[in-house]
Amino acid sequence: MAIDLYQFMEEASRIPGVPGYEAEIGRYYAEAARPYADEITTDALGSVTVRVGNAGPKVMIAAHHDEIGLMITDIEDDGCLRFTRNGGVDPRILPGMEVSVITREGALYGVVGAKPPHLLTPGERSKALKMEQLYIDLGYDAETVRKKVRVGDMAVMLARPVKLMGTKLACKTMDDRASVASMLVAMEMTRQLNSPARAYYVATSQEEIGSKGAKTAAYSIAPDFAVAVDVTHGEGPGTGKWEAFPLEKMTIVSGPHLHPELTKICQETADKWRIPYTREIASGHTGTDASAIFNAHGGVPTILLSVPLRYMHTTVEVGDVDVIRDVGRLMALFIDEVARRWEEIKWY
Amino acid sequence: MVLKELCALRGVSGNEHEVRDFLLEKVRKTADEVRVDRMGNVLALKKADRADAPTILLDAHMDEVGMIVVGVNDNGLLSYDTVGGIDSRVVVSKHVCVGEKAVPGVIGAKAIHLQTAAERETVLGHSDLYIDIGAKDKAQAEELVQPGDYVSFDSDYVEFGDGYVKARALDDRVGCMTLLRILENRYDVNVVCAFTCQEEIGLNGALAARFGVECDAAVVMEGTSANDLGCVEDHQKVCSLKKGVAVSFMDNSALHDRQLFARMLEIGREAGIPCQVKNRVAGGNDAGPIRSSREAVATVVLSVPCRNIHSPSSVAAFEDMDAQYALTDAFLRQAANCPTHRS
Repeated sequence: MAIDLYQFMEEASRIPGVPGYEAEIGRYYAEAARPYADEITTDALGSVTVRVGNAGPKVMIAAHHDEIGLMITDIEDDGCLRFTRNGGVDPRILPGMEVSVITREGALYGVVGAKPPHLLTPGERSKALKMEQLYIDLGYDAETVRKKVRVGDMAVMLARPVKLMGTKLACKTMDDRASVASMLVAMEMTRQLNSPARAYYVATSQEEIGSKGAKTAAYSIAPDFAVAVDVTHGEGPGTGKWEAFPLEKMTIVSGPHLHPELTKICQETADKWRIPYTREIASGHTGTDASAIFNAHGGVPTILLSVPLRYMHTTVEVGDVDVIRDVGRLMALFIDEVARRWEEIKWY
Repeated sequence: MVLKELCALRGVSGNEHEVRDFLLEKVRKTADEVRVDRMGNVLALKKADRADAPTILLDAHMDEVGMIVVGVNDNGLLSYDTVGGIDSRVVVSKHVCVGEKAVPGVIGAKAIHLQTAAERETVLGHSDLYIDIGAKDKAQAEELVQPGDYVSFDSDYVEFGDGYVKARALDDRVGCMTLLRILENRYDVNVVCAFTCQEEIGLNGALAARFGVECDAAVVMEGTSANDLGCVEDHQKVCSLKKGVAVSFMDNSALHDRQLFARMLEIGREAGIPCQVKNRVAGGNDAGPIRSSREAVATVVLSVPCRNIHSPSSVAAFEDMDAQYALTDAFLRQAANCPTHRS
């Protein structure tokens, strides 16, 4: 029973989950993982941990389930909402964006607006719009809006997934629900391989504001080693050499935060099973959960796999569904390899 | 609802056949005479219930702004030009449909992480943006698309809030809807409804349409830009949603007939139809070529205010569309006595 990755992305991308508000997406993940789980727990920050396996070394696998979003800061007298961001939203993608404001009464549909171009001065026209020049239009008067919305309410961007040519998919929150999907592929395989490991597949919270969930989950699990999965930049318009990667292959990342021996084993495993990858170098902080896990709890040997995406942090993040599946396969095969060779691994 | 059907049709200027076919099917059921001229305009005549009646030309354009593919790059991404005026800021992170096969595509932007501080401040122009259909290279892209393919926004029709709708192409499918409704009635004036093409790239359809129509006055139905949110000064709003149909005294394309302008506001007041004066000279429309071609004719423009016009996410209020219809209808009911007949 292989997971339908398109369906997963379709459903998962529809569930709001800005940092700090991951309960609903966490429940969705737990449901999807239930057939493979020996135990499912949710921690105080909202990370959801699925344990597969009852004996052997402990491995933590982390992919974050939060998404970048917006936060309401003010309600104007004409009923429109002012907002700031929760996570790294590029304000340049927002004019004309559809959003969903999460209120105590439920979700409210809105559209982001700005001053129309013909009313801008030539100077204004050449400058990117800033967050404070934009507003959310809910289609209600101020009195109604004030009854429904409170300052501090969160909002998410809306966009349905679009199947592009071949196995490409354009979707919001590919960052990082694509990696969450790869964990589901991996846990099914861990079961089939009957790997001698205790694998803790964690959908981590609050990555977008600094990997808070990964840090606390690593503390609780105290893993022997870890696999972090996130997205990386795919080659696209304006990207430079070595900072972006082909969409058709995952990257295996190397650098000081990542364990050299485990990274090598992972590459060898990929070679053995003919799983294509490119090498990505992170010279310091990886900008992912890997960098919150590797120094947690006295140090955790960690590797990092990444799914290349074009247009990261937009609502049209483009990635390759086959790569998501490959990441899941490699993760499971790597965990199996390490668990079986556990006693003989030369850590340093 | 007919507006939902109209907004689902793709009709970028120069490629309006989907809209034209839909309109023809509708107007053939209501009009007395229907023809398509050589520009591709649909002209539907509803005769007066008496002889020697004056003729009123009503105009709404069927086309919409969009894009056209100008080249397929080696990396499989498509370069495009705009067809009509589109602010490049509104296309980033949006969905599009390419060509007759409606190939899905997206327009992305380099990730915020990779931008320099200066890049973050800069507007991405259309030449910096590409349509991504997921092709791995040029050869694969060319299996589905080619230069010259028309590109339209792909954006759902969503009713929201208290009587609002978000959709693509509200400019000017709202006007098309009003004309379809008018054609269901009969008046004591002849009514020629011109559904024009190529308004967005230079008012071309209307020029040809007007050439073939003898008329005594013309009323243009539009969707126009509203800048009424974000706490702007009243004089900068152009017009406001839910304040009724906007009546123009002047556009960039024409100075309208003063009497007809005054008459519209008077009719609105007498009949209790919400209307407002469009308070800024912005945008041009089909009234331009209609007003000053042939022997000249009195014109006025009635617009439905639209937020985020020329974007995938235009917003309008249903009650303003009703006001556009109601004022046009009320005008036609007394147009036989209109002071601005052919002189």
